[in-house]
Amino acid sequence: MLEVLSAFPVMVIAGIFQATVFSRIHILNGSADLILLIIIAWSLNPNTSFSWSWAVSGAIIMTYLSAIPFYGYFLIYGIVWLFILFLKTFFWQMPLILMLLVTIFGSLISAGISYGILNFSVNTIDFNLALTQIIIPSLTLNLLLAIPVYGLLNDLASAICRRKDVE
Amino acid sequence: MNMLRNNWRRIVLFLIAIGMVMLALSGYLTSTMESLIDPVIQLQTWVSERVQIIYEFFTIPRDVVSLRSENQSLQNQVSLLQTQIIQLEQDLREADILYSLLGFARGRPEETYIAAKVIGRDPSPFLQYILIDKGSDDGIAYNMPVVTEKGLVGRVDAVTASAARVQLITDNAALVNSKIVGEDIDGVVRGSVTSDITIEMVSQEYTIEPGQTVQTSGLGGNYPADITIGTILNVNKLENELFQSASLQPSEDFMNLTAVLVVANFRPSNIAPLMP
Repeated sequence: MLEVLSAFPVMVIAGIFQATVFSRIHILNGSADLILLIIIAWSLNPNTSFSWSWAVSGAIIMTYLSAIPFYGYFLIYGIVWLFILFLKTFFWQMPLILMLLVTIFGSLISAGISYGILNFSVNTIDFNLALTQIIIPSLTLNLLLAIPVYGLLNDLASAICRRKDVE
Repeated sequence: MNMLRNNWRRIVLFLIAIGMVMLALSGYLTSTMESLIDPVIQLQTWVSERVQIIYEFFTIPRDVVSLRSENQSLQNQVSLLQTQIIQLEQDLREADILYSLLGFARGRPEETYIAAKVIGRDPSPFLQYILIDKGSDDGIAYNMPVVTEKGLVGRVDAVTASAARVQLITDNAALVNSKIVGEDIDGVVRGSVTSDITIEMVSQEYTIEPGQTVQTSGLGGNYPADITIGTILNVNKLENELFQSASLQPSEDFMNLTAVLVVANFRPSNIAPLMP
């Protein structure tokens, strides 16, 4: 229960950091997606059972902050969460290498869906330009940020979900 | 005679004393005195130093504590003053920006403005939007133009009670009807995913050159006329194309926006029903 209750406040704080700090840190035109990394790190932790609440909270916050149509982030985070759920059936331990793997997958899914939505609903975007100026730089930033986020969220998840084990 | 015989020792001593005084006054005893006094002074110095060391051994720890506490208090004061300096510098920067915005607003008295702080950016790297701290409670409405003292910023795209989202002119979906200042040349300024802006749809019959200023034309009714957008950098003119285009250097640095003005009395025209 604490896991579900803690999701929204953590995501609100992360959303504030995302809009004020991480949206300003650029490599070319790419920027990191802190919310995506938090969802990945939380969902990968073997102790968590309600990681869907973190994905939903993250999607709500990002939908509020971003001009991407409302279904965009629900789709992105939903697919990433399902992918992690799929991985959890094969791996009983979730090491750091898996965090990096899912970060690559999540970043590509995020970029692909954003590109698709904007390409269809707004304007044609040059794919090569998007790939070199946005997608690859964003992926690089996400990978750089993945390790500290994994360390932080893993500890937080273990602390919050330990109480559940005691109960 | 008898008295002299009885006191001869005293008389000799007196004469020796007188002689010594006379020798001392005449300076003949200086070197002898120095050689006698120096060891005494050295001894006194040695004793004094030891006494000082012993005294300090008992008293300095107390002084160190008091010095440390004084040092801590001074450091706290320095930190406080540094914080105040940073705060004042920040206030000064904000005041500069607000003065500039005020100057711009005074230069266009026909329009009313709502000043707003920039509180965030769109998290998606594909989009160029900013978040401002004023919303419908402050009179902000959908589609209102947003400017700074340097030029056009964009338009309000979404509004909540206390905040609003502004689409920048550098966004991929942004289109602004524009004109080149000093010439009768119309075009459309378009953003891109890389935040570069270009003026397009410029007729081939005109000659445009780098350095020319581009402003809003007011056509279409989405933005007020005569707001600066940027200056022309490179012209792209191909003979086999219907229109020429040019890349622009925006007049505003969109990465470092801190405060903006929302044009409150401008109501964009909705010409969609008139479109064929």
